[in-house]
Amino acid sequence: MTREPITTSPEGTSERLPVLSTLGNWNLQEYQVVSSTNLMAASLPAWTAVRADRQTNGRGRFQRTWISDLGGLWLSAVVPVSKDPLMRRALPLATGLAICNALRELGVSELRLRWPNDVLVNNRKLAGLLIDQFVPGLAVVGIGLNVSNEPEKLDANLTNTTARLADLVAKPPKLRQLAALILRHLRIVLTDLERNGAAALFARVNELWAAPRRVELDLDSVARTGLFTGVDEAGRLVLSEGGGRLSFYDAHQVRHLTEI
Amino acid sequence: MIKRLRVTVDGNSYDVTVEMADEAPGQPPALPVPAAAQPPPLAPPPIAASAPTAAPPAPAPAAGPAGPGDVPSPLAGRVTAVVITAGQSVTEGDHLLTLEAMKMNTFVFAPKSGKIVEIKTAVGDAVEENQVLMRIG
Repeated sequence: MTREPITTSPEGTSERLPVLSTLGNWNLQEYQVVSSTNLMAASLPAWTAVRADRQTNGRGRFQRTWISDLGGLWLSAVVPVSKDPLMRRALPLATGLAICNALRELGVSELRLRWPNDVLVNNRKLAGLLIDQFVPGLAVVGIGLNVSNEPEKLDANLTNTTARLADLVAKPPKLRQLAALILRHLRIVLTDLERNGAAALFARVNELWAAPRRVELDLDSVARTGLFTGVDEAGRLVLSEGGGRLSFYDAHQVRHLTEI
Repeated sequence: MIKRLRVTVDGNSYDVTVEMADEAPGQPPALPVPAAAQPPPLAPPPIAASAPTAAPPAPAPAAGPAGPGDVPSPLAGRVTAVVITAGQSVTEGDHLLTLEAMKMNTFVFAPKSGKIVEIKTAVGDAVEENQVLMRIG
């Protein structure tokens, strides 16, 4: 079945038809400019991805803008998502693991994750993820990865807070090849998750937080501080509050995590 | 089954066409389990363990009593957007609100057409799975 891409974005940025290609067991649609790759992917079937050279309305968490300038990887991948709460909780962590696995294959070292799935190098953000479940059964995994773009030129607040792949490896791959690499790892991680279960995935992700860090959790009406020590076998955030006392937080209880 | 949905993201409305691959035509939305004796706590206190071992998984969240027209929460999450108002008429498939957990947004759509009789949640609320979010009359 063929579907028309969404053409109702306010900027009308998807007038041009995408370039289609097959990358392994994924189908890729590539645009020059879109409002948001996640929105462009909203009506696509599983194992289809959308890449754009630029997003005019890239989104971050809490309705923040995600700067998506030329030279970065702006990619959205449609994947199946289970109704099982544990498997759902695993998806955001699985996507972070997949990005790390792809970057390690490129030779990037000093990688770590910040809960739930920011990808950092030397405390600077290299990649961020935002997942949208527009319909039951499918999730759109939005990936933003700085490659040779210069986000700090568009937002001075980002100075010294972002990392770029071009500064970390001798010769970064072309964006389509980078998309293919990430999509391949994403599918491997999700296949493993389906096969081996969430607890096995959580154990692998727990290796990527690096040393326990002092964090502040923004909960409903209070803030809690302690050492972030990873996630338990139920996917809950584990905070060490001193004296060996551990607290466990369901993901939706945590409005925000800040490293302090 | 092909569905047309209207999604509101950051105040902008988008019409999307979606093929529901694994749902039979006419299949009703999943209903919450029968009423539990106690209402679910909106923000359960964290469980503290004295030993440095992981605590057992949280118990299944209690379901609120669901009546006809009730829109149950499909998952535990935080309400990040409510895009309709009480008294408004909606069509099946209209975007009602958005839930978020772990940087994953889940869009909740009207399971049937009708008028929004009551909205039982607000932006910023943490809601449990199957908690009634609003009622469509």
